[in-house]
Amino acid sequence: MIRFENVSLRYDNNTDVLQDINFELKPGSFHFLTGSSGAGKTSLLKLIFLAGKPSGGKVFLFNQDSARLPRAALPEIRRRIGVVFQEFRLLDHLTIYENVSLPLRVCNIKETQYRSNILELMNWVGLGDRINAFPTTLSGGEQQRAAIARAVVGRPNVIIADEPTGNVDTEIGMRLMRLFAELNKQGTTILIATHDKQLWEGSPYPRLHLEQGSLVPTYGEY
Amino acid sequence: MAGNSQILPRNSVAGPALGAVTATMCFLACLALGAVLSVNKAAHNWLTQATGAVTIQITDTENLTARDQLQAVERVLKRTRGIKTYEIIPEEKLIGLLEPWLGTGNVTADLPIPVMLDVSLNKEQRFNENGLRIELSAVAPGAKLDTHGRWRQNLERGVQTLRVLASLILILVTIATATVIIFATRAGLGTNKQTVEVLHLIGARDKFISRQFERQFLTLSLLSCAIGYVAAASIFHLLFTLMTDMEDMQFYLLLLSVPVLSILMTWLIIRNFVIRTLAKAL
Ligand SMILES: Nc1ncnc2c1ncn2[C@@H]1O[C@H](COP(=O)(O)OP(=O)(O)OP(=O)(O)O)[C@@H](O)[C@H]1O
Ligand SMILES: [Mg+2]
Repeated sequence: MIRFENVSLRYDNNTDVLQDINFELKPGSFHFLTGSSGAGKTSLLKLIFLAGKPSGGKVFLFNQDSARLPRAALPEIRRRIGVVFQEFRLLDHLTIYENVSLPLRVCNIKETQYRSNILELMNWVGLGDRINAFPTTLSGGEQQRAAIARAVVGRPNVIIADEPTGNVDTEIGMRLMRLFAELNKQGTTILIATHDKQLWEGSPYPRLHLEQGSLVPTYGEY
Repeated sequence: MAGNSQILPRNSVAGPALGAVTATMCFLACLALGAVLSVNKAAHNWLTQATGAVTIQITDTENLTARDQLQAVERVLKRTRGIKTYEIIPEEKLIGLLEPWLGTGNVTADLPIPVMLDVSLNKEQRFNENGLRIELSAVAPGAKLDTHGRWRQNLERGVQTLRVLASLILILVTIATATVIIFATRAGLGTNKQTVEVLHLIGARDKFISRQFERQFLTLSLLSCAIGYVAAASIFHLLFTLMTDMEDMQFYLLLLSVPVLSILMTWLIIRNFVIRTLAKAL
């Protein structure tokens, strides 16, 4: 589903942020991406959600070389990948309801067709009573959940989450993890970047570990 | 909660300042076009009246009196194409025209009164003005054809000058408007950079994003062009109430081409510029 082959990445003309990355995410798999701050987690994820191109090597998304995708093909690929951005990237001038429904609106789906789904989803992430609030009036944790709702609303094949529990306490963090596990059970491929040890310790899912831009072996089921 | 609400922040692309500029430009363009249209029409009215008739004045020469030449003139008139009728203005009427200057009874028999002919032209046929002049001078050296030609030439030159000026104004206004819109679009793309990036990342097509920009611009330019048009149309309406025969529906319809074309131009510019810029984006 997603495959990295000898991928390297360099911003401008500085040193390599990523070097010789090789891995594959099989359909329906669940992975953690770990590494200390600055290790290159966000940089790696950006290559998946097409916010950047590798400086070397190849990134395959749904068996297509990302560097060779024509511009017109990008939206379709991106719609199949739901992203929870590290800094959420909610649009401050739109309500939570409008933010969450945006991925459907850009597909030109009519509101009557998705309205009840969104309300249900909002209840599910515990924002049912905040649908008309604006992002800046929400707590960090609430914004995070809105961002997660926006990432999953279009029923993507893959969900990429960058520090999805960074702003919430352990309890809510665990609840969000159960949400991802639930989506994974329904067949969604999931990749979660985190430097929160609590999140992956004791979980059954394999881990990709980044150290200074390189993947290093982890022990356990990887 | 409306699902059709604007995705870009209100006024983030096209604000009130741009609206004011667009309205002013539309107003100026309407004035320029309206001026040409109405002057064209006034000149046309005047010319059809003036060219419907010419006069011939016959004066005594050294060896021929006016009366002597009249018959020859009449013969020429009868065989000239484009002449409908002619009428000799009676002497009493001519004297009547002179009396206010000379005083009643002062027009004496020895005062040389010219013979005047009113010639009405047949508009369907071409009237060869110079041909008639040459023929007349051959048979009647004292005959003078007056076709208001110099008046007409002056008038036409004036109308032509106004047309050129108005075209110049229209061109300048168009260039200025286009420039302002391009700058506003560029600024709008700049302020909405983050939003556009998010839209791209969640799978929006360039066309979808462009439509958001077009929508905001078009709502604004629709409103401001309407204001510009109504303002200009009201001014012309006021002017026309002072003149008869000038106001008609056609004028306002033609004037409507200014806002229509300007909205169309705005739309094309934005669409082109935004799509082109987005093609270089994420
Ligand atoms: N746009 C950029 N231009 C230049 N350098 C960048 C850019 N983005 C990231 N970097 C650099 O790349 C390195 C990896 O950054 P990245 O954001 O991928 O780390 P991360 O693992 O996500 O860290 P964190 O856990 O703090 O989010 C850092 O040294 C960072 O300074
Ligand atoms: Mg990061």
